[in-house]
This record gives sequence, structure tokens and C-alpha cells, in this order.
Amino acid sequence: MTLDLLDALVFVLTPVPLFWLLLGVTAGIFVGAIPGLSGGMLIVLVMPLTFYMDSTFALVLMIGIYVGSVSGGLISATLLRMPGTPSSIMTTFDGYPMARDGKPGRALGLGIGSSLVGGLIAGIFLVVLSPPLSRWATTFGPWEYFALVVMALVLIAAISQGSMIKGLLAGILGVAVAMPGLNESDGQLRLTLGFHALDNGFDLLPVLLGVFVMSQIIKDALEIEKRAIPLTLGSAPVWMRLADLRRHGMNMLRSSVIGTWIGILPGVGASISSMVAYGVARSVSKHPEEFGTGSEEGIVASETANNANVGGALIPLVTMGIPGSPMDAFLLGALILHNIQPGPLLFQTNKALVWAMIAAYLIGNVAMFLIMTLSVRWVGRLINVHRAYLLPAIFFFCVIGAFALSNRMFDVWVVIGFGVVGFALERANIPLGPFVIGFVLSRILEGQLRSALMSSGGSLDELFTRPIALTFLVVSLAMLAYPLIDPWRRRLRNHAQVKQRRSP
Amino acid sequence: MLQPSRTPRVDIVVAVTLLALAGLVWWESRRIAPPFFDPLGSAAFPRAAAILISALATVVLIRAAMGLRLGVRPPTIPYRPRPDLAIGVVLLAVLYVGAMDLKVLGFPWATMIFVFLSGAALGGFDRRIMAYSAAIAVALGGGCTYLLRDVFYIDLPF
Repeated sequence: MTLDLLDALVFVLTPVPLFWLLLGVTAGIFVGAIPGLSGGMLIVLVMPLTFYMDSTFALVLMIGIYVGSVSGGLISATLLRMPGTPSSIMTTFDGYPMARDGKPGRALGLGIGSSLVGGLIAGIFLVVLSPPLSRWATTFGPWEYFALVVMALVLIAAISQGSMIKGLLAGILGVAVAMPGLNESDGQLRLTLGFHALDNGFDLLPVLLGVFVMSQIIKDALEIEKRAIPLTLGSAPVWMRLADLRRHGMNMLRSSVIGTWIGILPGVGASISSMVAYGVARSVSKHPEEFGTGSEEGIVASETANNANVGGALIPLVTMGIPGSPMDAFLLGALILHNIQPGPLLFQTNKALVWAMIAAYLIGNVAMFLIMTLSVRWVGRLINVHRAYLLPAIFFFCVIGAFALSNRMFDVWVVIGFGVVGFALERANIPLGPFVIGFVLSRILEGQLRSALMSSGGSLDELFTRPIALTFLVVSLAMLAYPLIDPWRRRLRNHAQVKQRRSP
Repeated sequence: MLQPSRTPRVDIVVAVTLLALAGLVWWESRRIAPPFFDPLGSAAFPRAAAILISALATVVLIRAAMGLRLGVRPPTIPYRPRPDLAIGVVLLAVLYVGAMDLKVLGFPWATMIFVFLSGAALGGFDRRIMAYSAAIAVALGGGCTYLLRDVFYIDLPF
């Protein structure tokens, strides 16, 4: 393991992969810093441009974007009071007040330093946990894998922001959208409505471009007047002192563990990690009253956790082929587009690629720290660039990307159609993350169930007699039942308390 | 216990659309031939998805109705939303793609017109923004097209 990691680190530090990594991190920081743009958008937009690249370089580039964009969000959260990415929302509560009080450099320095620490601690978990988990995952049969995908979908829906019903609806809708076209197992066409263009179903890339990029263009056009004047950074120094590491060390460690752990859970994005870490930091703080008014602990907790989440979310992706967040679903999509089969065997069949991804993540965090520290003044001036310049250009690249896939205009129409669908779903607070993950996992879900039923002669009994599959199923049911049981349990507890108070 | 929706009007539109979609999926899945060698068949998954979507969309609909009855209003926002611009951008995108699909305009010209018009509209027809949009339009429609088509050999629409 150590040798594999060292080999990968040396490989990523050679000129070509390092160039792609630095490009990805820089571009990621830039889009992450601009409210309304996101790293996910950029990953989907560059996906078609990577068709002609070596698949390892493509993944290195995308991981660079991933790391950069999650970190870049803190710049606009601090200077503009608008999180560049949803994961930086908690940073606005303390970063902006601190910057407004004349300490923008301090706020950014703490955020950047915490992001590095969170990223590296999660990197250690990624390196240590991935090999044994992948070995364990290779023991899975189709029943286990089917139950794992079911659990992932339920978990995504249950923990994704908003209501669980809408999360589930989004996930199942994603599964349904992946169904039209030729069913590979029996060669039958289904749900094509007689359109030959649908014979191969909806391709992944146009759907992603529509749901994540076009819908964002429509949303940004709707909110074009939502603007703020950024605070200026001036000549304030932007770095974290070594003494800060000692002072906030415990908070960083705790928030990193929270971020990594939440990242491992499928579909739970970095925003939940930072919210949970922020809440925990506040509850254990000696000065909880300072949270929300420019607390250093608040910035540290939020930024450490959201970067740690990236490392955590990569664990189920590289070991089991289950995306830990929507961004990981894009990486999964990139693997598929590059003809690499994701899943438990990825670590065995493409060991060098997986280690290169892990090394890119580790070096990407260090690169992010250096690039952000050096360029934050420059990026800080660009974050308020008018959307009128960006949105038409983004759609232009959507058209090129969708068309380049199979040289057909149908895919470009799919981008527009799914853009409207994604926008409508978002207006109804139906989360897009579960939709995309459902879409990506749909074929695996159906394929595994089909294989499992064929091996058992059509009987479902094995699903309940195999311990791992049964465990996944019980966890799924518990997650589904929890929102129903919890209010009832609380009512019972309140009732008991009232009764106790009334009794003499 | 069901909680009333905070976005009842949008929820009703989305839920009704999803119910219609589920109905369509169910109806289409009836035309799939029964399985002849595997126990699951091609229709099982679409049918299961249609049932689940209908059930969940019905719950969303009930919550939306509860929200409407209670008079729940969506939270106020501190800026003026521009639905006209959102619709305008989608229409321009449809015209842009339609013009290329119907071979009315070639990719460079269609791109230049789309980028300039949408940039100008999004910028409120401000002269400075229009000037920059024109420059971006030429750069993307002319320069980028040349770069992608003749240097990187990427196939572009008509």
C-alpha cells in the first residue's frame, strides 16, 4: 500500500499530471468563488473535453476541480456574504462578520489553513480505509450489491437537504429517467414512445449538463439582480499562524472526523458536514455566544469539515463504485465515459488509476493551499463578475459538450429539456443530488437484481438469508422508518414529562 | 405525520406532472413483451418506478394542498426575481439550437447571435455590457469555433 501510494505521488508530481492538477485546482477555486457557478458544473463541462485525454489525467484534472471548488467557496462567503458553493454557507456566518470588522485576511487565512488540514486528515482516512474496504467489497455478490445500492439511494434521500419524501422522489425519478432505451439483458426496447433517438436511452453527459448546468443558467438568469458589493481585502496578510494550529487543533481534528464520516455516507454533500461540524463546535465551545458574530472556531469547523467531506466521499466511490456526493456521481460518470468499470473490482483492475486519484487528492489539497494563499486577492476582485458575460459562454460549452458525445443534435435538446426539468425540481425543493445519483446507479441496481434473481431461480429468499445484504436492507428500512417513529417518540417523551411535572 | 408544504403552488404543478409521467411510464410498460428467460423482465422496473413515483407525488400533492389551505407563503427574497429573463434565456437557447438543427444558421453565426443577444438581455441592455458581450460573441463564435474545429478537430454542430 505504501509503495503504491508513493508511486502514485511521484507520478502525479511529474509535469503532465501536475499541470492538469494545478489547472483543475485553479479553475475549481475560481468557479467555487463565484456564486452561481459550482465545481460540479465545471466537472460536467470539461468531461467532453477529456474524451481525447488519457483517463488518468482526466480524473486528476477533475479531482483538482473538486478540491479547488469546495475550498474556493469560502472567498465569496467571507468577502461577499454569499457562499460560492453551498458547502461554505456556514462560513458566511462568521467569515463575513470577521471581515467586516476589519479582519478579512485573518478570516480567509483561517479558512484556507483549515481547508488544508481537513483535506489532509481526510486523505489519511482515504489511504488507510480504502484498501481493506475494497477487499471486503470484492466478497459481495449480486444480492449484496443490490442491497447496497438500495441503501445508498435511501440514505441519499433520507439525509439530503429538505424533505425525505422529495429526496426519495428525486432518487426514483433519476432511476426512471435512466430506463428508456434498449434493455441490455434481453435486447428489448422500452419506454421509447416510438422515438428512435431514444433507442439508446438518455446519455449520461447531456442529462448531467441539463440538470446541473442548464438549470443553473436558468436560475442565475432569474436571480440576475441578486448582487452584493464585496469587501476589499486590502493589504491584510492572509495566512494561518502555527499557534492557530495548536489553538484550534482539537476543533480541526473533530471537524475532520465529522466531515470524513459524513462524506462516506452516500449522497450526503459537504454542506451537511459543515453544518454538523459547526453545530458540534458551537455546543462544545467555551464561547458559544461568539458563533455568528465572527467566531474563529466557527470558520475553522465549517471549512475543515467541508474539505474533509471530499476525501470521505471518495472512499465509497473508489472502493464500491457508490458516489458519496453528487460531485462523486460526476466522477463516476467520467469513469464510465472513459470505459472504466466502477465498482468493487476497480481497485483490483485499475489499481494505478485509483492510487493516482488518491494522490491527486492529497497533492491537490496542498496545491489548493498554496494557490489560494497566493491568489486570493486576485480572485477576490473577480468574484463579482457580471453573469451576463458568463452564462451565454457556459451554454455555448454545453452545446459543444453534448454534441461532441455522439455528433447528434438530439443530445443538445436533451440538455435544454433536462435544464427545464432540473430548474422545476429545484423550485419545488426536490433535491438534484439524489436525482443524479439515482440516474447513475439505475443500471447497476437493475442489473444486479436481475443477476441475483437468475442465480436464485427467481427467488427473493437469499436477500434475507445473506447477512451483509440483510444488514444493508435493515439499515435502509430503519432510515425510512426513522422520520415516522421520531415524532411519535418525541410526543411520548413530552407526554411523560408533562405527567411527571403534574404529579406531586 | 405530514407537514404542509412551504412551496405549495410549485409542488402542485410538479406533483401533477409527475403523476402524468408515472401514468405514461405505466402505460408504456404494458407494451413490453413478457419475460421469456429471466424472472424479472424488462417491464418490472418501469412499473415499480411508476408505482413509487405516483405514491410519492400523491404525498407531495397532499402536503401542497395542506400548505394552500393554511395559506403558507414562500419566504420573501431580498432581490427582484426576473422570470422574464429566465424564460428569455431558455427561448434564446431553443432558437439557437433550433436554428442549427434546422440548418438555418451555421454554428459560428448562430453562436455569435446567441451569445450577444443573451449577454445583452442579461445585462439589461447596458452599453458597456453589450460591447463586452459583442467581443465575447466574436471570440466564441469565431475564435473558439476555429480553435475547436480546425486545431482540436472536435466535431461541431452544422
